[in-house]
Amino acid sequence: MKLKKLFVILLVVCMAASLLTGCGGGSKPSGDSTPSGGDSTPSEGDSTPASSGKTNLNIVADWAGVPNPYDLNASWTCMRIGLTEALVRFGDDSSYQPWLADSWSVADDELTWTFVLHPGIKFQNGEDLTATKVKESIEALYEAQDPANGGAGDVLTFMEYTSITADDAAGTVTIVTKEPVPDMPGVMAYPLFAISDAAANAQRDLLTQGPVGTGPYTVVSYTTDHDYQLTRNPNYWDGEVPFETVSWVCVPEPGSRYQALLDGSADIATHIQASDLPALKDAGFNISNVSGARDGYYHVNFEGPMGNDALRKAVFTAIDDETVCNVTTGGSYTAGYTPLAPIYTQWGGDKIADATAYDPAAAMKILDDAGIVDSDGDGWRELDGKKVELTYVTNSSRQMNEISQAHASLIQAIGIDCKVQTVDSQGDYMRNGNFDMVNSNEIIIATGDPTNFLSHWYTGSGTGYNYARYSNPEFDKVFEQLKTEMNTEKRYELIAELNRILTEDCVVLLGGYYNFNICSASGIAGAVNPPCDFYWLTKDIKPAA
Amino acid sequence: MKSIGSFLKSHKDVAVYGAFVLLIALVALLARVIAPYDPLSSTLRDAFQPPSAQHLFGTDFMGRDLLSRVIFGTRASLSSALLLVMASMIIGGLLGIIAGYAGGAADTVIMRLCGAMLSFPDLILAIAIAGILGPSFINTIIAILAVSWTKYARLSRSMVLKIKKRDYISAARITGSRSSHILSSYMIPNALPTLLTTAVLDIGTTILSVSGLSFLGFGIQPPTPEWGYMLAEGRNYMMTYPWLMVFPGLAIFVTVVAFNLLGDSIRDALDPGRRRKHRRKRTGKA
Repeated sequence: MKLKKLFVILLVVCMAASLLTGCGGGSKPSGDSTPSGGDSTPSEGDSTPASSGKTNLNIVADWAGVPNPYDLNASWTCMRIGLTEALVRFGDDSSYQPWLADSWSVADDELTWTFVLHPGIKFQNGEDLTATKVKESIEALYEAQDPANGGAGDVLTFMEYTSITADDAAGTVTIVTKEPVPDMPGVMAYPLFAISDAAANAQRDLLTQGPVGTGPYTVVSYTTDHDYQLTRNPNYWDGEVPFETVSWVCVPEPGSRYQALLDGSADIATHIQASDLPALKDAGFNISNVSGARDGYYHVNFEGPMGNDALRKAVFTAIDDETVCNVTTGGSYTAGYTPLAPIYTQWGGDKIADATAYDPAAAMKILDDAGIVDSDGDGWRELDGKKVELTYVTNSSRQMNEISQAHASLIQAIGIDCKVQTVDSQGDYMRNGNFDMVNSNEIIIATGDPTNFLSHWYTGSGTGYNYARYSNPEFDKVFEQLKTEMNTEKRYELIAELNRILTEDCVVLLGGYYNFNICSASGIAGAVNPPCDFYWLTKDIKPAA
Repeated sequence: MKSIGSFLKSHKDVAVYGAFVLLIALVALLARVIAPYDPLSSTLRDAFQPPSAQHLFGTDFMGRDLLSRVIFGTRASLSSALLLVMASMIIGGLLGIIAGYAGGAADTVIMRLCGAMLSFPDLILAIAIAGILGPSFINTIIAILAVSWTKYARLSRSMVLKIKKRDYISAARITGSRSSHILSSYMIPNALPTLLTTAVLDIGTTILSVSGLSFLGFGIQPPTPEWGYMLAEGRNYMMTYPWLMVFPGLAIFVTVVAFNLLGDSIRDALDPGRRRKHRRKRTGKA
């Protein structure tokens, strides 16, 4: 009996050891494999390097959401997996570039926008992309999003129009907006405004088949939150589509995606943990890393203790953002203190001084001077006779949980009790105000400029939600000017002013600027993560020459 | 005391495994003395240090000493597992005894409830309950308790049903013994050894369940050290900093194996069939 037990223990130890050794291993270039119907687990690649003969592409991503073109978040999916394209696209410098539209212009009334379509474009079903089809696409979007039809109404926060007219002969679409929309080309570049064949969409189950767009790939099958099987769009208008099939599998764990790249079962992986990137680089993988466009930050609740100016400033000063970003997250974030990253020099982040640079002694002095002291000797400071207890509400997406814990420990070090509450989704907490700090991870230039993002702190009706309950007439005044200002240079000035106000008021507690990445095997070329984060699977991803 | 000594003498495996479990319990009790550092004290700049003389198990992403966190994690894992098993045994055992002894409507209600709970996959149900109640230590206990009491209820009920018709129970009834007396003097003492053995065997599984829920984020919340949550924290770094997963994983492995071996040996020692075999072996009879 004892021998038998010893044997079992020995066996378990051996199995554990073999599992651990299995975690190692070097890089193996990806081979070719064809997806097999619904079973879409990434198959083990062979040792053949990706070459021009490769016909299938295996991608492991951190999500595989529903392909609904009429939903704010799901519309990103459609664009990222190469189903849809928009009239305009963003360049790497956030400039507006032609895509389905060759050019656009606004009339003197600042309300009438005309988009000139690129000729000869076809939808994935072979239908021509005409001005009428574009008009129908936008109208279908507004109808689906109409709150009266049960829609979310998100689209109304981007732009409201009074009319859309289509001229098929001239290939132009004219949109007249209710109010001036200075970033109209950016709005048209946003994934929610991607163009699809509304009539064909109406005949499909969008949630499983996806829309009929103009992108390089179409959906063969979709298993909710698990995988997409895609195939080449035979009617693609913008050159040859390199891969016949694409298997896009959701692998939520970054470590597993990293392993899939290493063992060759994936050609491309999204969002690899920063600490694993050096090893990938050494192994010869391609890494496309972008920073600045996505903020990992916290809404600070002005209706709680953090509404106290001294406490807020002390908390901001207690955060060692360099260490948190470079060490705690392993470099997944770049440290900063302005809501709009200083790399966007046009928005003045590079000219704003850091009044809350990490200095725990200074933070404690601010608290002492404000009378926020520990008077009962329990080790924690009190505000108005009541112990200050701060709560970070955070999800674990993009390491925000780790950042929150690091922040909490730094805040505790200055005598403020602080705890972290990890939740699946922080939406309810944001809306109900049940937080002191609640995390958000957001693209700040969704429409090419940060107006949408900045609206989070505007008290009037805007495009965001003022979760922080922040109220500053000076901010509101500048923001209202920004809403209607059409002159680009003047807009830059206004945005820079808003950036300064938010920084000096200690309104946006920054975790860091997220460095997002797409990594690919050496046999793959063109897998690049653009700053806007909208274009992942494109026709430019092809076997390396 | 003397009988415990002679029992351990004649069942050396129980003594050895028991000593090992005692050692783990001592680690939990003396965590404050044994741990080289405060498990909550973080130095962010010392994060991800590999095992060294200064930090035998290395440091985690907050620069906290991993050895100290593993040692303090013993408290959370052991206390939650013991609390859970005790509560399951008491609640489940008592309900089962009542169901078996009273019969009728009480039996039907308790056993149908038991059947309903058993019709769900236990961990999935626990996840659902923990998800609804929110993540916390107490809610983890409640979630697992909600699915773990059924085993004890069924076990104790079957034991009671087995002895309910025995002559000495009938005699006790005829002589006017009250139900409470019959339950406390005959039913519970008869069911207890089996329930206790099952409970000891269950501790390992319960530690895994608690760690599993914590791993999924439904258990003890940070920064309290808990092995399952430590594993979850380390998984994102498992390729670069494997010690973040290896040591909490090893702690779970060693503790679960220790309790399972102890449970097995106690079961063997208390099993009448095995006892006879053991005696025959000792006396040399075939």
